[in-house]
Amino acid sequence: MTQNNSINHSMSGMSLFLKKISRDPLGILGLILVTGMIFSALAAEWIIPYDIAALDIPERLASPSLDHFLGTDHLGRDVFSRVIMGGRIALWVALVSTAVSLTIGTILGLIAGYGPRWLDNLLILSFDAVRSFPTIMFALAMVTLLGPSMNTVIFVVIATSIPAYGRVVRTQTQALKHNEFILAEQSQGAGMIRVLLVHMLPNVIGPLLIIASMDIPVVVTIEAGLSFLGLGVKPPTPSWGSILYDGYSFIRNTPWIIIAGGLPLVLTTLGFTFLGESLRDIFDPKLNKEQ
Amino acid sequence: MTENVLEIKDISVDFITDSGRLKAVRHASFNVPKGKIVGLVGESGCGKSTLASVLIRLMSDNAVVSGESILFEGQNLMGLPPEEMRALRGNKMTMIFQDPMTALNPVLTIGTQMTDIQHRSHKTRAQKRQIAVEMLQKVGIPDPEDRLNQYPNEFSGGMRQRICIAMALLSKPSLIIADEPTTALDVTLEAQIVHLLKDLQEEMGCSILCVSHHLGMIAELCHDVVVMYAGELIEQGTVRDIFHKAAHPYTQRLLECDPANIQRRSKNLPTIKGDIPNLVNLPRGCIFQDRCHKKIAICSQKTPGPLSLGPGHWASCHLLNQGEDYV
Amino acid sequence: MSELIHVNNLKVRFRVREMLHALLAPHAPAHIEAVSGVSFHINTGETFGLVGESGSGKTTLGRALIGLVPVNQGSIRFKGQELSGLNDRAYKPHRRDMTMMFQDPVGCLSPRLRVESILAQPFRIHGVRLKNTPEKIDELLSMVGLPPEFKNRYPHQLSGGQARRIGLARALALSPRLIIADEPTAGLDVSIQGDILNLLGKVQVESNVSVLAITHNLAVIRHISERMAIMYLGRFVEVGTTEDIFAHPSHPYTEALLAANPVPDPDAPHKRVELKGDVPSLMNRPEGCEFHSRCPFCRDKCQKEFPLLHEVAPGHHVMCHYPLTH
Repeated sequence: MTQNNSINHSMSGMSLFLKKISRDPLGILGLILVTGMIFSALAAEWIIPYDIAALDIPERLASPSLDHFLGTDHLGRDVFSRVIMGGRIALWVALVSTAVSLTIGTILGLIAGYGPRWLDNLLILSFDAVRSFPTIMFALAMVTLLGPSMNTVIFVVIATSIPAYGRVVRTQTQALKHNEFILAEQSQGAGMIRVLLVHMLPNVIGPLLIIASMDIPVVVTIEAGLSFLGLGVKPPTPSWGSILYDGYSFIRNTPWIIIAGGLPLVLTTLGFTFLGESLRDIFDPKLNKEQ
Repeated sequence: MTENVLEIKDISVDFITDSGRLKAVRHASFNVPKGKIVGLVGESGCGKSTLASVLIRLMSDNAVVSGESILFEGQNLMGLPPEEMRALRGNKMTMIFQDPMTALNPVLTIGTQMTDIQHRSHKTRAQKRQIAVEMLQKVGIPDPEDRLNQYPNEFSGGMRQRICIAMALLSKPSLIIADEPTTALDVTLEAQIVHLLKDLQEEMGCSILCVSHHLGMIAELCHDVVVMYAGELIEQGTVRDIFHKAAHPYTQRLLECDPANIQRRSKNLPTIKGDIPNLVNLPRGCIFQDRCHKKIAICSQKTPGPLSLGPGHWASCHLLNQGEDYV
Repeated sequence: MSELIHVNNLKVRFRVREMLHALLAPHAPAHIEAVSGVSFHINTGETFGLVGESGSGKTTLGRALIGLVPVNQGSIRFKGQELSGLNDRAYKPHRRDMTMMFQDPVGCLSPRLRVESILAQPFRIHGVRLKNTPEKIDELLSMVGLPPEFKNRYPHQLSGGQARRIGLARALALSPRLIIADEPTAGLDVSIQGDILNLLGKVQVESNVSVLAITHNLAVIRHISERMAIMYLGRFVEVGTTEDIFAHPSHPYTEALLAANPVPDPDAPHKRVELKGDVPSLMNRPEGCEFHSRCPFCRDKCQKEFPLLHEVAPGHHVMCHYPLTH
């Protein structure tokens, strides 16, 4: 019912975006947290005061001090440095796996939604087969096959995320398939590849990016969880999950390690979630299932 | 002087948008007399649907309504608390929408919807059903008893619109607001619906405010017509005043452009060049000046006010002041 | 005048995919015939009007001609070549010479592309190398009366009238021989309908292109088409020159359509030929003459025997046992 007679948008995309997000306090908070996390991950080497593997046994399990902002762990390593590095690991895993699964999922989803029925059925069957595996079981199986490492974690996340993105893209593609602009391009003789890449993809990618950004905290948590179980990154590489594990073993000595491992997880998850929801409300309020 | 069921006095609606304050309706004043059908005519973007939605007070969050009064049967709707407005809506004032498919709930039977809508009357369920059956018969639905148990998708478009009309009449309203009631229908169905509305209106004596851009339908259905352009009411009169003695250049051109009005086959059809002006930054003077083929100097300096041309016929145009021949 | 396109006994069927329905009602048909044996031709440089209400099959017919919808029976001969039964690849070259304008003016333009890209698509699709793309785009825009700035706009930044013109510009890009215009004035205000119609007319005169104008708006058809057909339940019930049909409508449905058309004149005489009931479902075609259930002049024969299309005047055909005489 909103009338909008102005045909030319007076503000550019970025300034309009900033103006809109400034109305949402949680969105601003999310933006700050995410920016902070990305910055610390990128600048990790310059921020950390200590080497992450530097042992200092006499100082082990120390409480936070000016020397060690978050104290030390059971081997005397500076927890703060390890947490910052852990952030880089978390971000790296999240970004790589999201980027790869998005790409593959989108391609498969486009083909499934637009292509012949038999191909669609085949792809959907594969998606459902993968999704019916509980993630932890799948992770355990993969770790057994490939050994615990960061790359194994990335592989597990990619394999389990492709079906989810694939389905979303497929549904969007199917919805748009019969739209007049697609018919119009087909009537001019546009082939499948042109229709999918030039016309379908830009219209499908928007909601997908928002969903992906809300998935990042999930991936971070998966990585932390797997590392906590010892199925993820190998020591001495720090992961928030392994820091949590260490902290959990020594909780009677000091609570600070657990806090150090858990707090960044919470902040990252909240940050990306707030930002993602804010983005969603700005760009595509229809995605909000609660409305 | 007939009593008016609706009196709108100096109503304006602004929309707060990211690009500024959009003045969608400006200082609108008109009346709907008791027992008459009034047509609100205008093209896309003129604000007629906005004005209609002000009456039932269902507006989007960024709308700001201001003005003197909206008198419905003597009661001012402006500033009326939501509960009282809700008591009026669907009772003394009902609405028929453009798309009958989306106006009906697809998961409830017609019977359920038609009895539910009578929730204010303290009759038994059986009595309400009987009233629904009679109303369906009146609007020409065959076998109404059986059809009450069917779902909206089991009816054709024309029948659905008849059902919507029946539902609008159930509470014996004083005013029905019909927003583009035939736009979504084929031409043969349109003829049926127009006929139906005329007959029912005569029988039940209610008033109808019909909002549409369809000139032919308005000419057939309405007693009085109000013409709207870019947020302003620019001419009002009886249906004959407007269609035979149009005074405002916009009304004149609009009638000239209707292909149905053009008797001789032409490969050079008339149009009104240009677009409606920016409603955020309004031009100084007459709102129609940029597209008017009869523009004079004063048009860009002063906004014209309504000038009386006869009983019940007025138009806002400087030319009428100049003693020019406007017929 | 030579024949550009000749359609013979065209039939388009759709499967009614309601498996549960088929189980519960085995006698219900598995297919509906949206286009039921249509034959006609369009000459070079001519505008042919196709009139019908919703469910008449007119849009399906248009789409079948351009190959968006598969044909079940019958033939389409375009520039001497048979089109029915061709796959997408074989159809492609013909889609330079036959283009379509769609009903939804803004919706038929790819929403994330600028006008420039949208207009460049036909050239890219058919591998036509342009020496100077922006120049060509400007040329197309000026053909439809739009200034070059429109190149950078997105579809949602266009008004209905402007979007329609872009659609026409796109249809003209590769100098087609036939344009299928599906509801060219739908959604346009009366004050600007003339623009697109005048433009179509001008383009026709300049490039001798033929137009198949599909619409339910009789007032518009009268001004733009030389010959026309009235469509009902997938069949042509009356075909002839526009002048003849408007002056001497022979089929009761045609007369009802003409009479139903509201004239913007409160004193116009209402020669009401009111049709009973609604259009029958394609799943339940009436016996005999398919119009008999709504016809005010229905007689015995109409309910039992199917009328064939026959000539009532030179070039004027009707599908009726008792065509109206004037």
